[in-house]
Amino acid sequence: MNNGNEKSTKSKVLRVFINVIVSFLLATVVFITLNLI
Amino acid sequence: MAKFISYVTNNIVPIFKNLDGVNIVTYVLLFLSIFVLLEMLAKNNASKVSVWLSLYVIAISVLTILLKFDKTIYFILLCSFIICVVVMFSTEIKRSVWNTKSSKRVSIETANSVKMASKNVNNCINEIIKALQNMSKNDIGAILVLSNTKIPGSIIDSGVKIDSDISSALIESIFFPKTPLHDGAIIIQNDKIQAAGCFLPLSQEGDLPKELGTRHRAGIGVTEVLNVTAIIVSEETGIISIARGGKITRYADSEMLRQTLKEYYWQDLLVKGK
Repeated sequence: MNNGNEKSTKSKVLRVFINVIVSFLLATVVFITLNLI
Repeated sequence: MAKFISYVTNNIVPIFKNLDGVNIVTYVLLFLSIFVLLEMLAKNNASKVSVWLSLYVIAISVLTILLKFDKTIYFILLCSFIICVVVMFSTEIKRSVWNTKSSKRVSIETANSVKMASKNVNNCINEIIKALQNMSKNDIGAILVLSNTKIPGSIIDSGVKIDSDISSALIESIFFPKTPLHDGAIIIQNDKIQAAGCFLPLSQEGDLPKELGTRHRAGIGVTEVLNVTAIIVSEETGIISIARGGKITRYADSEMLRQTLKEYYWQDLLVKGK
């Protein structure tokens, strides 16, 4: 049970981390485009 | 390559060198809106859509820069994908909005403290289980919604308001075949049967087994859009199923039912005096 909870917490943290990185990249791309056009 | 590097140093680097307040706010807002969208997609097991979204944003950005599109066209291209995502995930968005509201409401209720004595809760649980088992034995179809949130008025209005104490005799009478209210759902809120004969939104999930009829679809459908638990008794087989968060668990025995009802009363409603 504890093992399962630990696993789900880890995958949640990983998911949030990936989303932060992807959001950062996409925001940068959109921001650069908006400033260039 | 040298051309690209010179383009970056001449055009892109100055953007970050000359950042002012408005630019920083724009950047943060962009980051937050994209993050919220990606989180919503990930929570709904739609990570594939996130990948497509990322590729689409990068592709239209590159195209816009290369073909020197107007800002308006760029906005239209960006918004079109977001509108598609909103339409595709309207049910999930509805659920997350209603769930946020419900969690706020529960916290207000906690502040006002939902006061139900331990004895009363056990009595409610026993009455519900007794009714479910009797109906299961006699192959009487039934659907109960354990509501821990404010059910939309349209659902309550589609049935008949009862506001009565929970009793197995009353539940069984409501679902007795050929009675006017037997076809709808019972809405249980705290220790009261709030309404009966209510119509619920049907699940549009295509992967449901064929043996699950409209009653099961209604049970799953309501848990897809609201933070509630539905208990369904099959009319054909007498099998009791529990639906929560759009997922259904079949062959629920008395222990499983007791556990679900305990979770409803003790965790979802945050009843004091455990």
